[in-house]
Amino acid sequence: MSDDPPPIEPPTTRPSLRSGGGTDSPQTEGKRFDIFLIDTGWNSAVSQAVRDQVVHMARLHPSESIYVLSYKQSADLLKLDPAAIGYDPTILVYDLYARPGTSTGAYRGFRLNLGLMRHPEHALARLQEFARFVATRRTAERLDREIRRELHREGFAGLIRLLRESSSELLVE
Amino acid sequence: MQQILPWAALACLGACLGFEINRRRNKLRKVFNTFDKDESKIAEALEALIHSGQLRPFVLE
Repeated sequence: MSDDPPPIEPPTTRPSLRSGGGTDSPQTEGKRFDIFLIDTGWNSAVSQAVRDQVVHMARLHPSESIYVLSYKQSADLLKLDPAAIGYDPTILVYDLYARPGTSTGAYRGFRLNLGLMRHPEHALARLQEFARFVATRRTAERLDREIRRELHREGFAGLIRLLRESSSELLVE
Repeated sequence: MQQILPWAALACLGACLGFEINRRRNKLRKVFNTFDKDESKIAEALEALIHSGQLRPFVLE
């Protein structure tokens, strides 16, 4: 008789983006995120570089669903959030474990605004960091805290990283 | 006066460093942003696109 734990089945129905709907705690396998690429082609060099990496993203994150929006779909969506115009290509990640009534509070997911990057190579570096973050932190209970610590460089270790990095890669000042 | 100057220079250096750290963190927050339930309009639109079949998951060939 084997002592191995039973395999974890991925969700069979698609949870709601607004209310979440995964199981009670993140698992090492199974779907946790819906990932959307919103791109109106505003920053064409970065746009092309990011689109070229969609295949890699799909290979690196086989458990997650990746959706690539068309120009029209992206433009229609940005009309709902005009403050985000010019920030695309944007990778929008819905965390299906963040839902009302859980300890995650108001947090529902995160976004990566690659259109703010000046050069494609800078955008790809951030995309790599993002891919690494999603892969290594997907089982975290409080992903919003991980985002602040890791991606916003909070804490002392983050401060050191922040000071070592170049600050000239963004289009915004 | 000679005792005050080094401290004033240190305070100035600290303020500059604090300003630069704050500026860089704000930039990072613009690139990597969390979002909350207030953005449910976008979620609603994305759900509608998926349910209508206009948006399908990317499939590896």
